[in-house]
Amino acid sequence: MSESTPLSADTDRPGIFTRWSLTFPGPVFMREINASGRRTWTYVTRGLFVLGLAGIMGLVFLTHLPALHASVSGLAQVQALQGLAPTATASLVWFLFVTLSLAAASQCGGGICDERRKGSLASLLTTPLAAWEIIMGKLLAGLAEMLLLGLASLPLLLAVRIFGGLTAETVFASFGVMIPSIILTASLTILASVGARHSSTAMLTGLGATIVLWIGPPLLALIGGTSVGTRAAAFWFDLVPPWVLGRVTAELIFGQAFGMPASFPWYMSSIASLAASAAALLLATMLLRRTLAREASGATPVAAKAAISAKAPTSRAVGDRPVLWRELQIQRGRRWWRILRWPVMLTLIVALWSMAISFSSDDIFYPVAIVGTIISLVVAATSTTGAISTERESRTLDSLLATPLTPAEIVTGKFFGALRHLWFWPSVILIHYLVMGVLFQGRNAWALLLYPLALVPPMAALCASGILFSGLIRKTSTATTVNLCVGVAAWMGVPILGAILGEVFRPLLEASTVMTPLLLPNPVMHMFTTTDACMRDRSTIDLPGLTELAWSGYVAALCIYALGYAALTWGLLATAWSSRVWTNASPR
Amino acid sequence: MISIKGLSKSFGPLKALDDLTLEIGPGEVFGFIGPNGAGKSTTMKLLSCLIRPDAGTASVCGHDIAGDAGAIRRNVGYMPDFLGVYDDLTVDEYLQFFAAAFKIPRKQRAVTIGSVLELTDLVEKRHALVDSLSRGMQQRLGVARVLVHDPKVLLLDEPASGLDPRARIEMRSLLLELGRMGKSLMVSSHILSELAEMCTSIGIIERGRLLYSGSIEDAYQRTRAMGGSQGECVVVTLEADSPPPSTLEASLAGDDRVASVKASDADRTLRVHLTTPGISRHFVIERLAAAGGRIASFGIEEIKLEDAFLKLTTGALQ
Repeated sequence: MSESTPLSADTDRPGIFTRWSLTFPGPVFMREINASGRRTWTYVTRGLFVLGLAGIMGLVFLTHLPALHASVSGLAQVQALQGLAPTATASLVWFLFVTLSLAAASQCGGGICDERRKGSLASLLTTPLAAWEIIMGKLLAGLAEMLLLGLASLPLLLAVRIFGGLTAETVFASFGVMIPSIILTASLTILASVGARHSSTAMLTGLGATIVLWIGPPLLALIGGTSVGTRAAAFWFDLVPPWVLGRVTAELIFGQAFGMPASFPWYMSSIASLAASAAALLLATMLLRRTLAREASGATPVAAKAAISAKAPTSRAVGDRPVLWRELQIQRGRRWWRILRWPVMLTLIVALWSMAISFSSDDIFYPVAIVGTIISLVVAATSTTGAISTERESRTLDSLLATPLTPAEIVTGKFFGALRHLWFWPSVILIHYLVMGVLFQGRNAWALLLYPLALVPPMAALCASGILFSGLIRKTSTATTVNLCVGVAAWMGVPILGAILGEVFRPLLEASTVMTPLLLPNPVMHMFTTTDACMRDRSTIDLPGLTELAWSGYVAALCIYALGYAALTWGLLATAWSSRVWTNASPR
Repeated sequence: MISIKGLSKSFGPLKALDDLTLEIGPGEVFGFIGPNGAGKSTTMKLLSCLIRPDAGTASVCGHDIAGDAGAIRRNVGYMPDFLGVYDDLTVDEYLQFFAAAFKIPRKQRAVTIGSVLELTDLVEKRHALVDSLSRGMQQRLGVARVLVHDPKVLLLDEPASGLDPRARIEMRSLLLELGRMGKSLMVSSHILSELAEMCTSIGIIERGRLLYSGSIEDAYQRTRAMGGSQGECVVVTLEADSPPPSTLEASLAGDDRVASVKASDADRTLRVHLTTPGISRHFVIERLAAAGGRIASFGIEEIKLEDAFLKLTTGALQ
């Protein structure tokens, strides 16, 4: 009888890298790739991406059309085309940078938290897969999709190269900065996904963490206004991918980079991004291992909830609008965030103010209003994109639809519930202005009325479009990306397009004629205008493209703007409750 | 209570339901039997107005599913095969949530919820978080949820799936109790023994087509008829010192009350199929004893619902 090997004698077990190379790219990667290949929205996204690429190139070509028409000789036309190449490359690189960063966060957002919610993380526990293999499988699957999207831009880049006026080194530097930055966003999103409950939260946290990593340390260094701090901030900025990419593309278009000479060559930014990615992945692996170990030891979330429920003596009374009641009762965010958000707000305001004092400037009100607006809009865009899809994923949608509740009741309940939770960031802007502007400096208090009028209606519209996309798109993270892209396209893409068209058709069309109607719905523009009018205590307000308005005229314009958004919100909600999620069911 | 005529539903190329016709009366407990993917859940979703049929009509409590969905929702309690729960609510809040969704006045809610919790034996868990309940308790909560608005018809899709034996028994007695309360139940399952003990009638469905619909007794009768006889099957086991069954077979073969006899020397049994149901079986003992047989046991072979299902579905869709 042959002797059996004891189970503990794991002498033949290959090392980590040998094991990975044997199974590369691993079952998690293969499953993710197969699953994404079956989703309709994967192909829709790819199609939209290619359309976006074509649109960007078309716009660049349009801007150079007058120069091309003006060229009389063949040589002049070739020179005009050479002038087109740097602009085309820079536009392409920035388009890729923004869309692929968003797509990376969208792809990796559900990586771990979706597994946990579906209960499939427990199945992975029973396999010999290690935590790092799961993390790497998820990361590589997300990056594979990015690679596919990136490859779609290659023919365009090659076409641009044909025009000339473009060095291989510049292209290499652009992609060399961009790719590690995308890997960093994906890694941070996966790290967020280990702790998050929903993919949209993980996606938003991943994107937010990337931005905080870029601008947080230099902002902290600037507090106090010391020369060491300023130098440290400058050093850090030379490692931040968008800054470095900006320098590379500026050099491409204008022949020289902006600002002071860079402290480091561009590849230091890539090395820094890769190092930060490695740290994020290591942390994600450790956290996932801890989660797996906790579940294996029986300390499951269910057991924890049982312990909590043992302490809960009573239940709350449910209102007559149950969906709205539940949305209002849901505790959004982690417990620590709910406790710490007020101290965080206070610290933020004090830090901003001390920075303003350091630089002897009260221009701090402008960035607070603009950055606060952008954050508020991003949070609004992500707040409702799980409204229907989460019900579907948790299998509660059928139970809800089997009740006499109408789709309108369900949708409005979700909408108002979500809107109620969005108070924090607009409050930061308001409280900052109230305390630092009105109380300390006696500035014009009209901003306290005009800020909500400018900010809340577009936030409501984004919430409504989020619900619509949540019904139409099965995956929460995809719905979030689409909603964010709609916001970016409406408030940034359309004005840029208008500016370009105005420039191209200059003799026929006044640039201001095109730009004014396109900029009027822009909340960032209104927040800036309001801040400027109140800070400078102007008697008239200058809206772009319009003659100067009196205060009453401006307030009336803002009211019309708010009514316009209210109509849009109602239209989106009405579309949401009649969309195909509900039309499968019999009419109520 | 439920009347279905020529109902069909396809999902792309897959025909989930093909010309289904069915009647379920008041107070009837109807067992819907079929393998996974047979069309049971699709039928229930159609009846609770969650999806629209491609063809055919159906009515629940006299209301048409195509035109009167609101009235149907008020009269029907539908429990899906996989019960999703709001994990951030307590049992009481969860039931209140659905009571509010069914527009039950606030004052009436506490009494209603108290009685359904009592019926489903969940009173002690009233303030526990839904997510902290065991699977069996969550299934019972699912039943409690569909009872909140006191519907006349209950559509329960696999209510006992994933439950342990004790929870299964509890669920069965709960459903029997609901039947006794006069509610019409449509219960789907692919575990046949479960349905045999509580259903008054069954329907067998496979690949979207209804193969059988009627009482369980009738299903057994048909199963027997497929075995070549109308009457029961008498099983006789002989003592070890008795002559072998094969030698005693002849003593029964000529009788016109006997349809067929099968002898097995290995397990010392004789299976005697009678021609007509309900006739006296004493003559079997007398004949065997006269031929020298020493009887150890004597009984009627029970036909299981599994046998009926297999016999009724064999070759039906070939």
